[in-house]
Amino acid sequence: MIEEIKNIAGKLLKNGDIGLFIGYGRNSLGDVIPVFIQKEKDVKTLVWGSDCFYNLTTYLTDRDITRLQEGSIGILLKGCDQKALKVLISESQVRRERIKIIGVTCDGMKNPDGSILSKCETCDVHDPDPALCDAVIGGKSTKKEAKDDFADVAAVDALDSSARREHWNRYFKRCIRCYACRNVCPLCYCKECVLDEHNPQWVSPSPSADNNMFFHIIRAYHLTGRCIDCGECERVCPVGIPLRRINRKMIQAVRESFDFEAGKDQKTKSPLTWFRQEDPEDFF
Amino acid sequence: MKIVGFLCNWCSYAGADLAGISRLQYPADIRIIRVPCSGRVNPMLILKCFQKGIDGVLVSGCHPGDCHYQEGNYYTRRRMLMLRSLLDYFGIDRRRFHVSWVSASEGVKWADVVKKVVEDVRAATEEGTRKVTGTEQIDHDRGN
Amino acid sequence: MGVLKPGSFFSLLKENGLLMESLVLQKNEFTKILKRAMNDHEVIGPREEDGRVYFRPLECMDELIWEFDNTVNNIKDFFFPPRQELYELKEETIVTFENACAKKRIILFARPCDARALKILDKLFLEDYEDRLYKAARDNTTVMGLSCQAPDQRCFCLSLGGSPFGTEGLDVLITAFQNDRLIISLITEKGEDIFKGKGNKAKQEELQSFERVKKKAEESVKREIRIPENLPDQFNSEYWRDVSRACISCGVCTYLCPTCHCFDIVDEENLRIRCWDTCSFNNFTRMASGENPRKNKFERYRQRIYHKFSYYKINFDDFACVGCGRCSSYCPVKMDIVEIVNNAGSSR
Repeated sequence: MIEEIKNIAGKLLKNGDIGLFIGYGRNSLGDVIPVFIQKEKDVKTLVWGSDCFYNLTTYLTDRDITRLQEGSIGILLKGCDQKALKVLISESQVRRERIKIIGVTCDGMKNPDGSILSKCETCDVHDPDPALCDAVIGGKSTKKEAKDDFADVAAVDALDSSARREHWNRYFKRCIRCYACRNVCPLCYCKECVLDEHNPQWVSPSPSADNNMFFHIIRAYHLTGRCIDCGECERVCPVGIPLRRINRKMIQAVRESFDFEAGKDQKTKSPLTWFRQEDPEDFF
Repeated sequence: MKIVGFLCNWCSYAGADLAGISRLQYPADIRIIRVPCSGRVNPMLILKCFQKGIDGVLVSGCHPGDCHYQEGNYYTRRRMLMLRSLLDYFGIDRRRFHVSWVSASEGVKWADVVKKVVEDVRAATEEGTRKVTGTEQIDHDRGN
Repeated sequence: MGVLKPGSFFSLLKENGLLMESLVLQKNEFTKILKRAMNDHEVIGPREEDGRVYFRPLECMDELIWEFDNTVNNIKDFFFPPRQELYELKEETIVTFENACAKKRIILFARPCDARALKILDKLFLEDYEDRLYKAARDNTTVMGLSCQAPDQRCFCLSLGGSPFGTEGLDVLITAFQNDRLIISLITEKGEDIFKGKGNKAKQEELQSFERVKKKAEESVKREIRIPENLPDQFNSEYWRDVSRACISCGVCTYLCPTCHCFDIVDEENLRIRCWDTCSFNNFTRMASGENPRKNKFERYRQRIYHKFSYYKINFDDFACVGCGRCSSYCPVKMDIVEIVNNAGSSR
């Protein structure tokens, strides 16, 4: 598959169809890294494997990458990454005409110890979406997905209020407010994040357990109906906070209350921006 | 006990006013903030209330379908439903955050809603072993 | 640089690993000594939390982890904490938090790189302007190091003047030995005080064994950072734009770095607090006018490299890096500082 990827990327660059190709490479220590190729001769540095877990879509909302780039941008996307892109297109953050999407079949990413990532076990988009991508690589995946039972969310729901506070406090005491989770997220693209605002200051930047909790509540709320569970936030957290457990709660809530799932198509907008007359409620 | 109420000007605030004129008794724990529409209530304002140590929050607006601005409260409905779930998930008890639809003529309902909210918040406070906020952190200075 | 006080020459020799007294202690005796110390000291050491190891205040010696690569956080957390209360406004009076350290403290098993970072931070926090909270923490803390007998392949302390058996910044260096023994190298008086009269003086064979293990460890550190001589000339190179593309401008590298020290001051109600900040953030240099001299990502990434490998050297005669490797290991996109610095000299 890697040869096909290199081929397509090389051709696009050579023909001037794109000015930049975003894909995966490796550094001198053997770690997979995101690479930004502008010359055809550099496509040989591209790699593909079961450790290519980065969601490269995040770079399409990075103004340092997109603003000064001439021409179109080519990008290699797995199924989960494509979901993020669909949300971005529906929110008018990416102009579809400006990108060339190479979709690649993914049988699931693996941890360094060889075990499959938990998010990949319940993935239902192993095959690239031909309706979205300009080119698709790899045939049909042989992976069958397991049903997502949201057991991690249910475990927290089973606790009573105080126990829940204690459960989250244990993690939020460790949070150092590095914002790696926010910055890596493809859907956190606000030029001026509400958390950086000082006038008014919604949450204090200092890392106490309570401040940190409110930071995560705000981020989870802003992702409600938009998060597609790519899991990058949890992967990048240096102190191992189970962030997917938070966003998945809202994914489940949105599914149950509004019968909505983010990232299914390029048109439907996030459920909090529209309504139905018969929406559910349990208010007075 | 401090409870903050965000009341929409056209329905709920008028309803609360009617309750006052009718000399209906209801707990004084609630402090009211008048907003043009319940749809104006940014969820971040509600979070700010909890950060400041407010014990409970109530958002009250026109009945769905009767919004003075046509659609405002439809958005409120979706937002607050999600926010309530999210706060509950973090251990900020459902009983601390309520939403109600009170029209301008529902003075009696308003008094009932406040009584119910105060009851719920009191129950949550008594059962809860932690204050809503504090400045707990890993004590690098003082020893944990 | 000031008058050399009598006795300080010997301290200098000791601190640099010469003239050091070494004793041998059984592991369980060491644990007993520390357990007793817990009565009037706060003991901080590596502890496991959800599969990762962190330096935390210990509740009991059973929590102490003896074998680990390196912790997520480092010991700067205890001298320059992520959140530190400075003043409180109480009824129109300002109450200053004078001595942050209520109790005397012992930090166990700091790696030599993390300890060396303290010496680098001292230059900033204690020289021209003495930071009272940092000073109180430094004065009240005894730092016991754990030598690295099997350095991680990502470490590069040697090329920055450090060593897996380094003694800079440490009061005591502990080396694990066979048969549950520990060789304890006493570096400063603070260290000597804790182990006074304990254990046995290290025998000649034991010291020779120690030297062998030390040499082996130092030879196994293969990774090298080579800061280019012409780094100052590369400031305007396109290189910085190329290498910083993947960066997501978060704070992981700076917050986990043992030598990074930037902070912000915020007010929470009536408390004035100092908290960590990072030059990686977009609005780190944004001014009240809205003007931001480093609004582009590459400017910020370049700044980080230059601060560590050029400006700090010029101002304080030391590179602001100890080669622990945390920045690359925990970077969300695995930006490799060694590769980036090594190639900076030959960029176009």
